[in-house]
Amino acid sequence: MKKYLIITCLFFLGFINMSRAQVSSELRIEIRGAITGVYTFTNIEKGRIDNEDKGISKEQTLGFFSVPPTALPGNLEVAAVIANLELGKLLEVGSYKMVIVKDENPIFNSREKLGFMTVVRTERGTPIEEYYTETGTITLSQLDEISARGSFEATLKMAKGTKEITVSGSFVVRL
Amino acid sequence: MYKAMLILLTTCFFMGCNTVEDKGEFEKIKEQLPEIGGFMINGKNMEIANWLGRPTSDGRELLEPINMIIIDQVSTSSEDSKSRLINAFTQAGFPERSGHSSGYKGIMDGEYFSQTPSDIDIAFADFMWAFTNCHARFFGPYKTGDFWVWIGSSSQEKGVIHDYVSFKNSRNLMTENLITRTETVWLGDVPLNNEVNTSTQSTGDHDGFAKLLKLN
Repeated sequence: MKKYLIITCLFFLGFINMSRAQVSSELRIEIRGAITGVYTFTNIEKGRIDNEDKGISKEQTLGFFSVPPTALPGNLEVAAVIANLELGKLLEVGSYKMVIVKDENPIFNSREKLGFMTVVRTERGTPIEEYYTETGTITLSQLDEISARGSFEATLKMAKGTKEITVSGSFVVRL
Repeated sequence: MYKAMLILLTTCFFMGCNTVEDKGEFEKIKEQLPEIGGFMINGKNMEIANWLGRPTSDGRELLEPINMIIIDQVSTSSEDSKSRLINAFTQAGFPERSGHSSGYKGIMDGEYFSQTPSDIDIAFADFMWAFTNCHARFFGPYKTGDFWVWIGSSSQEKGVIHDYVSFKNSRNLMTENLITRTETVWLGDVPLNNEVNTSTQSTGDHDGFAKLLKLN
């Protein structure tokens, strides 16, 4: 009996590892407005913010971002961060309201599911146009030990200037 | 390091950017430099900055080295020199950006210098903190007889979570951009003997040298 239990556990662990190995991070984004196009990023990294000073733990947050310089036509980079700031809650499936960003700081000033996104156009590897969310939503539709999946739509405005873009798309982030 | 220097010199030769033409100038300036503290200092506890206490992937304390020295022979005041430094970094693709810890200091001739561009969460950086980015904090300026001296700690961190990635990548990218996109000249590499690799402490991929640059 013990032998069968060990075999079952090993099989289960092997299955999990295989499933994890099969998941690749990817972000697909359609952009309209001052920038237009459909782009798919496959070199996506992730990070989970741990900020004791602000009472935010890793389990409440998820950030995912392209890694400059991304070798894609359009010379774009994309990053997004979501955080569940509801008291006592962790990151969970649901809608995350996008907040505005001021001087590169997202205005996370309420205890709810919040997020932001930025799209950056580069030239010679250097940002030349940086867009940050004005309004929108990131929807986390699936979250487990292996991956986080979801979609988003938002309006972003250029940090220094008046240009605007609207974006929509989906993401898979391997955890 | 020598391979990187060769690539840099070759690139500069073909691109016509600014490199040292007179080895004598490098030696002459190096002789006039103040004694440079080899590490960035945490202004809160006055100890060597250690990446906010986060260890390396092998569990060692990560010490943050000074890896850039910039001299300014043109400015007539410290404020003027500060403006020129900020302008050069902005033009090179590293404007002032928020989201970086602050309150650090640098040491020259035993004197502590506060952080530039600002002491409030700002560093020179190529991308917003949400992306993997190269950023630097500078300290100074120290006035010698002929010029102002700035020292800096340049590093690359992972996006969102600020984990250490490299000191060398950032130093070399900043140097390359400064000399190809501004009038800054690379004079040579100054050995600061600040590479640390013990069982408990490390300076990551830092090679013990600071790039010596001249603002023009």
